Amino acid sequence: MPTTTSRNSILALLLSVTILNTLVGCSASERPPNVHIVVLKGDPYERGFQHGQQLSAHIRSLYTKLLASSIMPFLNREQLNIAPVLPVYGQPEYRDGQFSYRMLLESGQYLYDNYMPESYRQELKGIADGAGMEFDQILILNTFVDTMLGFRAIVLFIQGIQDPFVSSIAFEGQLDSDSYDNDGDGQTDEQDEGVLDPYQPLTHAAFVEVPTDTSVRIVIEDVNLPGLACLDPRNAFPKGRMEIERRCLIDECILPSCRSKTLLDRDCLTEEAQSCIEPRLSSGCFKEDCLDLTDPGCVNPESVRLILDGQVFDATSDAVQTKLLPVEGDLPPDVDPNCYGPLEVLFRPPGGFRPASLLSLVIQAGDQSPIYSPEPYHNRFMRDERIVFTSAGYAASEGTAEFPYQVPNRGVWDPSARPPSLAFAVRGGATLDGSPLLAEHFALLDSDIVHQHSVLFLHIPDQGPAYAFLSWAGLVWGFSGMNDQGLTYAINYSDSLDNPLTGGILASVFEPEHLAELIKNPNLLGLSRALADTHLYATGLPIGIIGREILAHGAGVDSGIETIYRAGRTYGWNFLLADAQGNLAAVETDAASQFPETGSAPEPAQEDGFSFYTPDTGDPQNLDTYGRPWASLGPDDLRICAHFQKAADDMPELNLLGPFKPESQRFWSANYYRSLRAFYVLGDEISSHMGNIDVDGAIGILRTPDLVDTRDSMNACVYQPADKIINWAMGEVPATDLTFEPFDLEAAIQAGDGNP
Amino acid sequence: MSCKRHSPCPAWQCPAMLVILLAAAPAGAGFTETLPKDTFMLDETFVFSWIDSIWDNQGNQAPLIEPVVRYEPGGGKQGVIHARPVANYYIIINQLQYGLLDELSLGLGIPVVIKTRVTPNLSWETGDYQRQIGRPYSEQDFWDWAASMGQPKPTTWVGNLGTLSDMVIGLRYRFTHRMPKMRSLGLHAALSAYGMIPTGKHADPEEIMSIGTTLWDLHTQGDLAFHLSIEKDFERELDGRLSIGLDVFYEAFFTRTLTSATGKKHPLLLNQRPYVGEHYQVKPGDFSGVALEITGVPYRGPALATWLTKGSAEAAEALPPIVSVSVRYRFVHLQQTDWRSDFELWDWDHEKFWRPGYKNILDFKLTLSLLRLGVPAQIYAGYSTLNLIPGKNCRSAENLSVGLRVPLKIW
Repeated sequence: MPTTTSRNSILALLLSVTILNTLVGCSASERPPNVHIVVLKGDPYERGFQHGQQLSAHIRSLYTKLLASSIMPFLNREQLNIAPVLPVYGQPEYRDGQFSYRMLLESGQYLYDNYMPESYRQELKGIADGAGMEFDQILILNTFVDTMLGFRAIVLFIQGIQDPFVSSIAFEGQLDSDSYDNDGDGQTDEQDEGVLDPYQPLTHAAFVEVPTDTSVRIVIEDVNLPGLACLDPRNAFPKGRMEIERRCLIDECILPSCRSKTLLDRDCLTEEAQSCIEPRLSSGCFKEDCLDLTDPGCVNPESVRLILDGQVFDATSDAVQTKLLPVEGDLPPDVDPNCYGPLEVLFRPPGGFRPASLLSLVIQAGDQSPIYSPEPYHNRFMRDERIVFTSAGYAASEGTAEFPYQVPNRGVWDPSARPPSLAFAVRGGATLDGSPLLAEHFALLDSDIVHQHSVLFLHIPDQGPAYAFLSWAGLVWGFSGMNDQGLTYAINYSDSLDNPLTGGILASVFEPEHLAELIKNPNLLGLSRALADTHLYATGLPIGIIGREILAHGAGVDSGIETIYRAGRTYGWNFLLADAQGNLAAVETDAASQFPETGSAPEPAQEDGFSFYTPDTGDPQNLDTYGRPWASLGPDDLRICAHFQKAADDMPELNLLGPFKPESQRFWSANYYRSLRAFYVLGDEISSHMGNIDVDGAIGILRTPDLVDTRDSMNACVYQPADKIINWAMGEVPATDLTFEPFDLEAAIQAGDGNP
Repeated sequence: MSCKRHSPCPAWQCPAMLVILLAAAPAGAGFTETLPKDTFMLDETFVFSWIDSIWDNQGNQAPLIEPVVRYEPGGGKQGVIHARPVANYYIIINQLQYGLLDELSLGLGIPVVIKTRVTPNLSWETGDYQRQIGRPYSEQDFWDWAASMGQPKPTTWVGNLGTLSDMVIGLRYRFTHRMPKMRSLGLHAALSAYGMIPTGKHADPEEIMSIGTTLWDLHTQGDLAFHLSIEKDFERELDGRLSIGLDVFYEAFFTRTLTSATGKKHPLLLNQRPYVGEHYQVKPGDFSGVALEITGVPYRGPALATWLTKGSAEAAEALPPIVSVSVRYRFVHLQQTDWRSDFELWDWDHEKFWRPGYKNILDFKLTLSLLRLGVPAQIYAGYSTLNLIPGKNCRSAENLSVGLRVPLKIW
């Protein structure tokens, strides 16, 4: 039996253990950082290996969450739209969820084999080895942006040629008798003074000094493009169901065992009927009377919405009236005669337009096509179109804005329209101390994932300058960076159909036998036959590697321009360059797929797919047709967004292709109008701080609410090229909400470990 | 002759097992009760438990699952999935206790989960206008979109059908048994130790809504527990109608190795293995704390001379009262729970819900003892809640229980 002493000892021990463990076990977990600073030294393979080793789990996480569990499944849905036009992607090896992976890998492999310098190949291999991952995954991680943007552009193009569109806009009333040149064409009060036909997107106002008591007439049309090789059975009868009534299919497509049934599911159909990707079936199996409404070719009047300075007027509003206009000539086949034709929309706001005002009008409309896949169910909607105009008295009140080109198409704040990436650079008289600054807020794709994998890489190679760039785990590049000489770059995407993927399609189409087929069948079936063997391959240097090359091979803006000029481009991209001497330059590029000789002149030249400019107003190359700098307010500032300022006609005219003609950026890019707005708002902010911009001032400009994408913000930075300091903010969304952390590049290089 | 807990009495001398077992103390499992030597007690309890909220790090009640914000790749916010899941457990707890000595008892607990049901109760908050469909995503739109990528909408999960939980084996030593001075003051003290036998099942990693049956999943007690208890009975002062008990304890958890999900059933939500690793460890935070229990006797009832007492009414008088009620308050301090996988951010995503905290548990129990009436059984009902007093970083569960205790003496 225990003694009293031993019992007391046991009690004391228990109490001690309890107290001790309670104290020791009390420390709470803390959130690990979303940002890492990684220093890489040695030859390319060594640096890659260090990269992979240090960030293995982060690389796996980024690949799995962003690609395997988000982007790839998302892109897989587009296979249904792509395969009927590019039949190779309907083959068995691309089915069962393999489409996006294989497409990204094949395109990445093509870039790797044909364009990627050996040093980067070694670096990628090093990452894969260091992280213990498959090389293909690292390759896709480093090339998917280039491929995906081009692919996205093609998807939008295919959708766009089937979407409704605005064909004309006209202001009714006394514009042809108000003694004003309302449309800025140099003529006053001519017939059709207030008519924009054909409609085209503008960077400036469509009209000025519009009478306040007028109506605006908008004509919206839809396109019916028949000939899809594969159709969704839900468009047949019974509508919305996966099974099909027996009477809707030809006998040759039904298995004999099922021919007595009245309702058929997929298992009852022949291989030929099922040759399309599930759930679609071969259109050749359908009888016409069950398919007449696959694509009615009709605008949906009920979907029309007009937004005037943020106020919404939908089809139920008294201010909006719609009317179907008669069609000239015969109706195309497979359209609904009850609704096919241009839709006229007459809009007159209650009380008329606000006098002496700058007004913004956004037009939204959809069609009546039942789209069951990709889900969710929807009709086709056109891109929001925006025009701005001034009402009578505005020019007098402002003392300017007599001509449309003087009024920017800025629009008004719309919480659903997220600002795109933007960057600006200032120097000299624009800044507080004369030192150059380059600032960027990059926003594209976060999905609540990417910001957790942010990295500032410092490369100290065996040869060449050391440099740093903002990036993410597993990537060998970033959208902005600076080298130890102070040469700094920032890159923004700028949508363009003049990209290698489209180029490959066009190359196929222009082969004589393919072109003949398309002329014979100017529909989607003809297009798919012309593209029977076409793959989507990106060509050129992956964009981030161009950034690396800029830093690795030069000290000044001129060398940066040279590097960009010589590199093949994978998409449309805008560059902003700055150096320690205060030189600034903007470069707008695309793949110039129709002009392979681009990039071969002895010196960088203004060519198709390559435009550059600086704030220097002494050079006419830096001025638009009105004598204004392309993207500057004065001699010491420059800015870029996600659209082309100078290279606005990025796509050559290819009228031969009829409805399949790829258009220039401004006609189709979903980023276009919001980039325009961001561009002008950014200009306003720079203007209001002109002469006083320092690092804090630049950060303040980046934080302007109208310029911040709160959904897909990825990183923000202010570079000081003269001082070799990078002020970075990343790891949260939006990045601009964070404190900008200074990183002294020179000190970090000397310290060799990323800790200056 | 009756044996009272506070009077040492060789079991074989007592005329009836139940007198030995339960004499003179209010019924109910007190902190210091032991069985007489060579006596068994079979205790069967049915527990219905439900959980629909947690006490978060700020001490506020919150749903079990944080809202999940969903984004269209490059397309802004689709919306927010709000979940208010409710988890229901139906459990049978089989307990068998044996008196090794009058002051030393051995116990074995075998909990069996009859069924667990988790209902997700999903709702949706719309996000940004989506140009490509001409509207913001509705809830149906979102799940249609997700289904097109192989991700089904989570539904009610029912599992753990007839599944064993972790068994518990325990020892209690009432060391005041041989301290007459203490007993004379109505004071009883005991040391208890419990150990877990890992027979429970972990949650299926491929299921979004599943819960396991281990002690960690149930979060009821540690793998190894030590309790030091003391009780005061007011036998003389209040004719045994009141007793107060105090218990301090420390319960430790061992590290577990679990398997990560591959996304087989939920490819978009549970595809973790590539970056978490095939296996990961969880070291649950240890428990420590104190409990206070007050037991009262509102109705003692008649004492009948029956076969149980071999016809002795006097012996029956020593049996537990017919009705007793108890209230227990437990403060349980929770240490940080650690996740250890290949990816520290994933670890944090779990650890943030299991930072140091505490539970404030109230238990209410009503016991109906039929021994005085000649029936060898005690029926009890209980209610336990973490909802009345705020906690921190713990689940706010509620339980209803009913049970039956039957004393046995085989030899």
